Amino acid sequence: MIKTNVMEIKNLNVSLKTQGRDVPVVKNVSFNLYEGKVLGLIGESGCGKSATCLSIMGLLERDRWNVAGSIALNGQAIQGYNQEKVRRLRGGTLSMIMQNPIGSFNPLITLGEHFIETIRCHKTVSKKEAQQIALEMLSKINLPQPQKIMKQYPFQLSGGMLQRVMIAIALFMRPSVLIADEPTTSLDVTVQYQILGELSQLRDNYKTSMLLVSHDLGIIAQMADNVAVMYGGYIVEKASILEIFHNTLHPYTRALMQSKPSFTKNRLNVLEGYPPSIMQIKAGCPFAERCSYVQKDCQKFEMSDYDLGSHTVRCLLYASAEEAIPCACS
Amino acid sequence: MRAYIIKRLITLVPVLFGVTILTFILIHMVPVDPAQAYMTACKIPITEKALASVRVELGLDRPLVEQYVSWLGKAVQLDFGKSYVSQDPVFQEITHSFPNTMLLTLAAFSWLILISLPLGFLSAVFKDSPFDHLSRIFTFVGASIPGFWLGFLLIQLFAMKLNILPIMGKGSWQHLVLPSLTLALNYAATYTRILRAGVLENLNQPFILYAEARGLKQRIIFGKHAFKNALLPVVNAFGVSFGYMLAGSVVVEVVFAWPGLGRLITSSVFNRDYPMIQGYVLLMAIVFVISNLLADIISTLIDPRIRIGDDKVAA
Amino acid sequence: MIRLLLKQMAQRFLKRKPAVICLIFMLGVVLGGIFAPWLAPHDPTEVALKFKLLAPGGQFPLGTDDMGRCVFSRLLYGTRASLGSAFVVMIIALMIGTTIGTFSAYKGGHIDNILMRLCDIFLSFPSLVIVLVIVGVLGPGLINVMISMILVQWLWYVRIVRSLVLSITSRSFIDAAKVAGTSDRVIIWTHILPNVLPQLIVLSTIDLGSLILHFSGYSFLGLGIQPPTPEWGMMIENGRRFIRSTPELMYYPGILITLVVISLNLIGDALRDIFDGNYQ
Repeated sequence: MIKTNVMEIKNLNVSLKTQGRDVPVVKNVSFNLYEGKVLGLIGESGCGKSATCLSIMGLLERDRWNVAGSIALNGQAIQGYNQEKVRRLRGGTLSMIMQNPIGSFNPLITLGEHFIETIRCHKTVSKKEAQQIALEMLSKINLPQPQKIMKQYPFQLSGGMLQRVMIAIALFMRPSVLIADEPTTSLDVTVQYQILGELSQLRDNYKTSMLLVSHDLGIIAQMADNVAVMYGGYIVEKASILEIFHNTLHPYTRALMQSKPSFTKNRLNVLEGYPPSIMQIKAGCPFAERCSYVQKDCQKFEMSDYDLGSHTVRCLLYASAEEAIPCACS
Repeated sequence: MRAYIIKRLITLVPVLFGVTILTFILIHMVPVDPAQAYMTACKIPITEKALASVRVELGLDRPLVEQYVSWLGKAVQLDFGKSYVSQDPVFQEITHSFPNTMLLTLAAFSWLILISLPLGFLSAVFKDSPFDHLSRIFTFVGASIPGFWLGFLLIQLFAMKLNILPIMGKGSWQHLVLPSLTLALNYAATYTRILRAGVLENLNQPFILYAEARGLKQRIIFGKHAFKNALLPVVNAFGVSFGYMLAGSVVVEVVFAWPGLGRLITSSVFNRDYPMIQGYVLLMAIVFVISNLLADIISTLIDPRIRIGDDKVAA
Repeated sequence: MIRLLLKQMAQRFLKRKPAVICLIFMLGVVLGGIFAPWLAPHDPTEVALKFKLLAPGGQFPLGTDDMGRCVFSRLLYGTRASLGSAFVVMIIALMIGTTIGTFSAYKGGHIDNILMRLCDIFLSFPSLVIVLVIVGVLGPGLINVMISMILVQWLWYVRIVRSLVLSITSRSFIDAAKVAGTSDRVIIWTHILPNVLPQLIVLSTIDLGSLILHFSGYSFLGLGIQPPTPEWGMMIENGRRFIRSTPELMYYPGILITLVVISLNLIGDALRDIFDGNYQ
């Protein structure tokens, strides 16, 4: 199957400007999104997932953040776009659903107005026509009584319902890329799976490619075609979903897998310690302190990605493995 | 909604009772005899005999409770007694000057909205710009300047140097400009500051991030989302401030010789015109309860969380 | 420990240039008021009609008013009435308010309820109305104005102190102290008051500014201090009659009041930031 490359991100670096120095949050991140495919981005909180999403959307305030690297959408570099062009992309070709549906809607404005104002910022249509589009979208995602929902205020709906409205708003322009930042974290489990089911159905219908951010391996396993594991601002391992689960390479990914509860295990292996604070910058692998495979060189060298064909991994353990495979792909 | 308003108006009754009783006690507790005050105000020479007859005339010889009940009985019929000084009924004096004070306060209130809303909003949008710094200076100086002094400065600038507005008194609409501006400026400074902080706080809310992620135009994000939400707490405070401005007009009325309630009450204070003071307090209590009520109603109309929540309870 | 903390706070305060300037200015004004008898070139109430409405210079640094009194001396002495009275009002109201507020919050019950109702009624009125009524009954005069200002102000402090104390007593270390058998008095003095104090200092600094504004307003209306005692608000009232010929008479006290109030606000803001910094 030929995969159509929709979005290509190369060497994305994001740093927070502080008084003394710039604090890097996202380091040298590269990945591709393919048409109709889901890339799962996984990692503990504070490892740079949200910053990655927001920098792609161009939502990081320019006077507080440095963003470098190249972001191409449908073959066009978008990082140099001016404000107005980026605004037209957002909510249009490039959509996002937020992690906190309840806080993301303005409490004083009806959901219908949220929807209509979004439509009218992207299409030149009358209020009536916008209303029609909104109603159509709402009924497509199986929301009961769309007429009523349009007139309701955010506080009258549950988190799950709001998340569905958010999905409807995100998809009305048939975006090429949908970024979902922990879309179900704040919902309870049954609602979570309904929403995920709807998301994957919509992805199939619209051929949207999706960047799904989560810290939950289960969700990633259910939804993703490819997985990128993030730690300390780096993508430490990147492969297809099958590769990741059956041929786990990076020690951090292994630790993540082991700390996932399951019925067959008696005791849960706990990954000791915490991810490094973004304020502390050290040479070498950010995971070295917690790694059970740590070698003496781990904290000395700046790591690089080792390409093992179907797998990319950022760990010294595989330094020799790459040399062994004479450039199979790339 | 209607039930709520009626309920609030009923709470007015104990407040009015409390206020009138407190004033009544206060007047009769102090060492100065009301009869004596009356005679001083009317410029009647004080003799023992005259004092006794005035006491009977004013009903001061009866027990305190009886006096209060009889005052209350008349007050219900809008008879608050006669002013010691002018001998005119208090009700007539107050209704004569109250509209002027109301006019002044309403004009000042318009200034307040006209100045603080745009200034607070724009200084938040253009944070740290020269405009923001200027407006910051305005909020600092405006909140620290004595109102009456500001009034004289304005008179000097606009009425004397530039000669474009009348100095004082009441007449055309031009007479209203300076006093109302003076009355408003202190509050305008405070509200500019509150509003700026409110808009900035709202800009950090997740719904603003989501609004940006949906690709909304900046104009809509600021105007509709940040501003409307910042306005909500301010509207309620406006109601309270309206009452404060109405009372605060006393000083401004003296500065600009504005024939309102403030001037009436200051002269009553100096003459110990007790019936006038009683009437004034009662009026103020009513004004305060009603302006607070209006503010609550308006913020209920803006905030769907209260509006719809109420309906649910009623239904 | 405490000395170190104070030193840190002082260092942080010194970093704020505007607040430091304001503090120096305030110190100057206060010292000027205290040492007025030594600093003032003239008796502030000495009438000399032959010197009336003189321009600044020579014998009179800021000129003279309509009765030939030295404006500079009157401003210096005026500090005592304008600043001093507001300060006394604040201190007394603060002491009463803190005592009753702490007690009310700590004990709760009926007294607490009654006090809160009283606050609701009194605080829904602007202080000006209450002061007008009380002065109207007691008669104009410095002491009467101060009494009525205290009557209004103490309830504010009751309410604020009460809510501050309540927020502290709900924390676990107070429970721990109670379980350990510490007496109420010790808990109040060693745990509650030290935690309330920083916020009260900030609050009272800013309140002092608004009290000064109010006080000058009452003097302007003629409710407070009676002539010939010098006071800034009254000096403005006096100077306004010469608004065409010698507006300076009106400028000096007005500028002084404004600067003092701005200074107190800026100092209060700086203190708030410093104390907030300590909590973080």
